[in-house]
Amino acid sequence: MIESPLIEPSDAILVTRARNGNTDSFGFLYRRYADSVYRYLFVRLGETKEAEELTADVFFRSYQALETYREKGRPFSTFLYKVAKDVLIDHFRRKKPDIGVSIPEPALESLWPFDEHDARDEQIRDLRRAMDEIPSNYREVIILRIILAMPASVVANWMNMTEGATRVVLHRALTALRGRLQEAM
Amino acid sequence: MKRKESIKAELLDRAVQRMLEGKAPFEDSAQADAGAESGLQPLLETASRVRILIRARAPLPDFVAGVERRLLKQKQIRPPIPVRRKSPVSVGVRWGRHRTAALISIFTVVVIIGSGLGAASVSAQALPGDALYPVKRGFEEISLTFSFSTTGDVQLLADFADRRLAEVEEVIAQSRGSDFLPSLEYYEETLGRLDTAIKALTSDSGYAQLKNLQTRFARYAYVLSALRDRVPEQARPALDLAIEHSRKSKEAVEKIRQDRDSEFVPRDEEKSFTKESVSNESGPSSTKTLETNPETTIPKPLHTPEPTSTSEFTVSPTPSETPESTKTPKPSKTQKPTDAPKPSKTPKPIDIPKPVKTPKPVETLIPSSIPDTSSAAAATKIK
Repeated sequence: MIESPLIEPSDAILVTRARNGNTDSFGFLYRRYADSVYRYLFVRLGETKEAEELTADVFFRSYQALETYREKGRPFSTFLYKVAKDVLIDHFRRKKPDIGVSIPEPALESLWPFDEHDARDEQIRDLRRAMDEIPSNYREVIILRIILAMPASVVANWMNMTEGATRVVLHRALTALRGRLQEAM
Repeated sequence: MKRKESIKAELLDRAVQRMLEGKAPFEDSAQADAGAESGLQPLLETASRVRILIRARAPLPDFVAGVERRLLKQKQIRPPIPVRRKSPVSVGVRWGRHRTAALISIFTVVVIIGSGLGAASVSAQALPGDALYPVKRGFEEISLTFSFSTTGDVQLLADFADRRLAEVEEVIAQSRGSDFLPSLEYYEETLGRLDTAIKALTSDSGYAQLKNLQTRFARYAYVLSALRDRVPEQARPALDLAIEHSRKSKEAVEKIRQDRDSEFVPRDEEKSFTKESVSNESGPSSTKTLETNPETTIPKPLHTPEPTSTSEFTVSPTPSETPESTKTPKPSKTQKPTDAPKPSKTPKPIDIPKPVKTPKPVETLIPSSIPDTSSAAAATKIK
């Protein structure tokens, strides 16, 4: 099949087909989102094996729950990340029952380049330090919106905020990060 | 102050979104000026720096392929789609779902009528991309809102699917290149809604529509296949998917009909028919039944079921069931009076050769699923 944005069916069409038992369509959705869901889980878990297991779990659960998905103006990715969040909560609950339903902060190490040469790069070190210094909710919004390129609606859902509030937090987060970077220079 | 910040934040988020999509942060120079005025440029540079320097690890290709293989085997373990019965609550939900579209459409109707135009006729010829196309779709949503039965929904959605297909044909005929893709998406969306509505059919009168739908789906696949050579090559995969969707819809209807047919078998056994006559569906025994005992085939008016339940018999799978229709149907299979459509709405059985001199009730009592040859033979014999 020719991979062109022009002819790729929309999520809504693929969901409709998948609901009618066309697993190939769900395969299409999977290929579209596997990468971002994996990255999303990996920054939370910081471990390849767990991230792989949970990514598979997210898509299996989503497929089973597809009948309950109602578009209502929200993109399919919002539904998918909601499932991913549930899977993460279940995972941490199983692992450490005492932590309740909270999810640990993103594992920042997992975000930095793995290449030793890159890791020594001054710019990267400055950025990492600046990221460490800003408040956790600022860090979170930058990771979700900028690094993982999640839609604003998904970020809002994850952070339990309205989309408008999330935008304001992003604005403040980038301002704060820029301030820290300028101080370091 | 807060309002100013939220405006800035919105501008920034929009620019970030464009940046993430690989586009220029601002759509035009006016927006760029507004962005510069709001001091967004340095923030966008920071965002861009983060994006370049920090990245999250991607999954291994082997893992991605492995999960995909497992996912594609999901068909067997997927739970069946629950059949929803319509209730007054669901009617309310339906209204809620279409309320916005309906209100917009009502407003549009008022405006158009107010300006002296016939809204329906104005928008009827609109194609996807035309300014009046949303009006046309709005009218459809209104009519759907006022349908209070699944059978009615299915009928309307089937008509809408016809229209969507006609739109695809028209756009392609106008040689708009790949511009037909939105109309194809609308077609598939309508087909998807129709698929869902069909699955919700529970009444016997609803089942009577199935043969008609099967024919429609087959025609859709045929029409789309015929259009294949007239679209640009890079757009053909999209058309192929729509063809496949149409075929799948046809298969799904076929399966429902088969399941429905098989439900009739034990019921026949309970009645006076022998197992032989059931198993030998279109064989001589069934013909013989019709031939030797026409009285049971042509019911007397007293035994004629109410028009509301006639549609039940249009889906009878075997000729041997035809005489069955003269007897009182089992309550479990008989459509409840509350669900029964009015006689005028009883779907017409299709492809059934009607005996010319047979009294009216017989026409609706002849099972529609009898192979054409046998029904013709039966009809001749009755005659």
